[in-house]
Amino acid sequence: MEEINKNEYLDEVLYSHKMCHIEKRTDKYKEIAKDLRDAVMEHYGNKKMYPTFLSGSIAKHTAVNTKFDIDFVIPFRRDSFDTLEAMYEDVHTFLKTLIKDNEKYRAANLKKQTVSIGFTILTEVEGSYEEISIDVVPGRELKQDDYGETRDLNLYFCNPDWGFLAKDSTYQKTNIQKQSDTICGKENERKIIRLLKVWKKANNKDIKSFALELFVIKAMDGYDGAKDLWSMLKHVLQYIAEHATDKSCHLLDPGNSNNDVLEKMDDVKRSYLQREMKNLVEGIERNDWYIKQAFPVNQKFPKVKDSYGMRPGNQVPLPPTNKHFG
Amino acid sequence: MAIDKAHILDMLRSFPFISEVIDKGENNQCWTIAIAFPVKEDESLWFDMKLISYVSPMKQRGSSPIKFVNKDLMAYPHIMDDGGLCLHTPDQITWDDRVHAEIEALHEWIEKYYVREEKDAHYDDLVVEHVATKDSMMQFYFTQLDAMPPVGSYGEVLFTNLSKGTSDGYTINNFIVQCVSWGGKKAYGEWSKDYLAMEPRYKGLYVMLSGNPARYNKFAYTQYDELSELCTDDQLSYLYKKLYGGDKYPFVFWGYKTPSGKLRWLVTCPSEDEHIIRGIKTRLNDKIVYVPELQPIEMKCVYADECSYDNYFGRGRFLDEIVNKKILIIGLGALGSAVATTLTRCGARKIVLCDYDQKHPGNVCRSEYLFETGRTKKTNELKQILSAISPFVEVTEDTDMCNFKLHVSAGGKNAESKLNEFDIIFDCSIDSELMWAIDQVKTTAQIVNLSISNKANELVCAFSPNIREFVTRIYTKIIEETDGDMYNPEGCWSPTFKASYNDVQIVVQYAMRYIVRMLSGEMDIANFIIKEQDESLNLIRW
Repeated sequence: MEEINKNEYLDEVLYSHKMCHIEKRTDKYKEIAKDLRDAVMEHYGNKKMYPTFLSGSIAKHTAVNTKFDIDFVIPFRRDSFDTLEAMYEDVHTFLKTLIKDNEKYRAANLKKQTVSIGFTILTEVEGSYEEISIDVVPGRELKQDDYGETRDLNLYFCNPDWGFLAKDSTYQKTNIQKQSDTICGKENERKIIRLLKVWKKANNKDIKSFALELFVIKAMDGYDGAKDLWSMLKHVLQYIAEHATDKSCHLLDPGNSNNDVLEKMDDVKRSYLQREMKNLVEGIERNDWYIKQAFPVNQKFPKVKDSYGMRPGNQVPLPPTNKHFG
Repeated sequence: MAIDKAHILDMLRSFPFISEVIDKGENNQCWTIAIAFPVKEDESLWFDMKLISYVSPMKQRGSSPIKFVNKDLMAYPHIMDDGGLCLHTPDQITWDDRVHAEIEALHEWIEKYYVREEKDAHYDDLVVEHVATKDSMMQFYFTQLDAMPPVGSYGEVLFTNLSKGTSDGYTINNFIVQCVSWGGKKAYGEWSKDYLAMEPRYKGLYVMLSGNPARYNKFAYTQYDELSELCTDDQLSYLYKKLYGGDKYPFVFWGYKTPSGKLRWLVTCPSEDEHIIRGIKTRLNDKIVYVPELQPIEMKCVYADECSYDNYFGRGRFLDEIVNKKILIIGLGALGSAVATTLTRCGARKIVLCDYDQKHPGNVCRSEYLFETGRTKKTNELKQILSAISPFVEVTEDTDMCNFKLHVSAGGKNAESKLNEFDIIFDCSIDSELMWAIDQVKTTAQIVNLSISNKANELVCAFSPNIREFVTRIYTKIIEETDGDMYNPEGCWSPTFKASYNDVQIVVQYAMRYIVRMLSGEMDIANFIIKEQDESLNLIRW
């Protein structure tokens, strides 16, 4: 069997998952998000809110083209709503009316999510129809007029019995700006985060991306080993395997130092994470081909090799033969 | 149900538009009552109302037990050659209701056709008195020809036989008219090439008449001499020579045109014993000549029905935008064969079939194949079946398409022109490699990809371009995993889906209804899924 150059291969994986391959789709996302942001701004106005801003993986440049999200945050002024719940519900009601009254949103749907309101719309992208999802995140500054300075926001938790939060919480302080800044300029970390996202999506793993991101940043902090992709990835995987179940390890949300993302993962999830990371490293060390399974190239956008122009051996997605018949 | 004669007479007298009722008594178990309808100040129209059966007021074989007769009204619409009026009254259970319905219908007829002298807009074929021998009858089917034989022309008719039919102890000899020739010219029927090429061929004689061979434009002549004024001497001389010149011509086709210029045939079967034409010795310019003359001999007419495309599919077919297209069907399993027969029964004229597979007995239960043909290539059998359904469909086989994906995969150059040979391509092959290959090619053909899930729970229909992406997404993201309850035939075949003919047909027919609307431009083209939900079929458009 052909020996795989792991660094070249991982580079190819990253290349094939670049967002620039699907520029028309992301443009569509951004266009729809802009329309929504404009509608929100027009409705609430400067007196109630600060300018909206984009967050999510696209904004943080950690997106992969097989899985990405675009969120936008609505920073409300403190006195706009008495409660965070009222804020969340008001935004939901507004979006609901917007969809109902607007012909262009005829194929749109709303869904209440943990901190955001999921807006999905069936739209045409490059000749075929697909569902585009945008998360709208309403937040309220902590004190009147301090957002300009602190960028701190409180988010409403629509369903507190979810995720890594204390069950009695109904809101959570965050600072999305700080979250985004943490990754700013960290090119190597971004690459590893994107690889882990490829793995998570391709293998359908139930692990929160945010925890992985924080783990990557923590693992790479002070890393002075080899700077090739496989060495860095292996280091991160081993680091997570070692620390996932370590009670003295903390992953603090850059937007809220009181929020320990790791602590809020239960033991089962932590040992699951540990196991998965361990398996990955061992699997790849044992069999070269395992890396192809764990980190598949997005076959839609393969990197054409200089030599023979051969494509890597992953499959073009086809319907499963045991499901469709004639 | 016993009949109360006195009550019926009372009933008749109670109708305000009947002026007189006379009981004419019973004869051969037929009770006749003369009834008069005042139509003008001093004119009444009389009908004999005949009760031809006392058994029941219900219809027998479509005929009412009550009949109205007036032989003076033969020229009027819907009066048959025995003077009987052809009324189509509703079904009735009691004699009272029957009498009421018949009298009301008669009154309506009088008002419409006698008083207002209205005519029907549509053309009714001539009423022909057919003959049958003791145990067999003849049935000809003909279409319009690609050229109309001129009035006064004469020549030969080529025809061939279809399968024999039976009915009530009769054998029915079915024939189709393939071709007519006169003076070096030939005119062919609309039939498909297969039917035009069918052997063996028989010959008949024809003459093209100068008018309608009928009394009152309704009742076909019953004696040959009645045709005299519509034939030329040349035509009769020709017939005489041919009929009595040694060759056997069992049928003579008497052609005429309908008011709208359509060709019709009256087909007779001249007896071998009696000459229908005789040469009459006549002196002309001091010469003795024999002038042919049709004899007062009964015309033995056989059945001859117009069976052109428009008539054949008159009760329902797909729009011209579909039927006139060249349609390729790839994959002739349960779906593909159902699509093929549906298109054919709905009037498709050009169908091309592609499948490398053979039919096995296990295929029969949910597809269009037959057991009696045993193991055979699917394309061969389906071609026969489609031709048997419609004499207007040209069915061919395309074997190139079986290798199409290999051709595309190897970078072949002619993929586009290959697909462009067709207007519509139904890909029912569930060959994902082929699906990929077709997606790679820009074509003017509209591709329709059809597949179903296990138990035919869903039918997925995707239109070009970008079929693979949609179908893959639907089967990986939308359609749930089944419980693995598949059908495993013997051997190492892949298991196949479970679904009955009914399961398959219901989704295919529902899908075809919308595919046709989309392809004909009635609806926008959009990928869709058909799924049964809450005891109804839902079409979910994408």
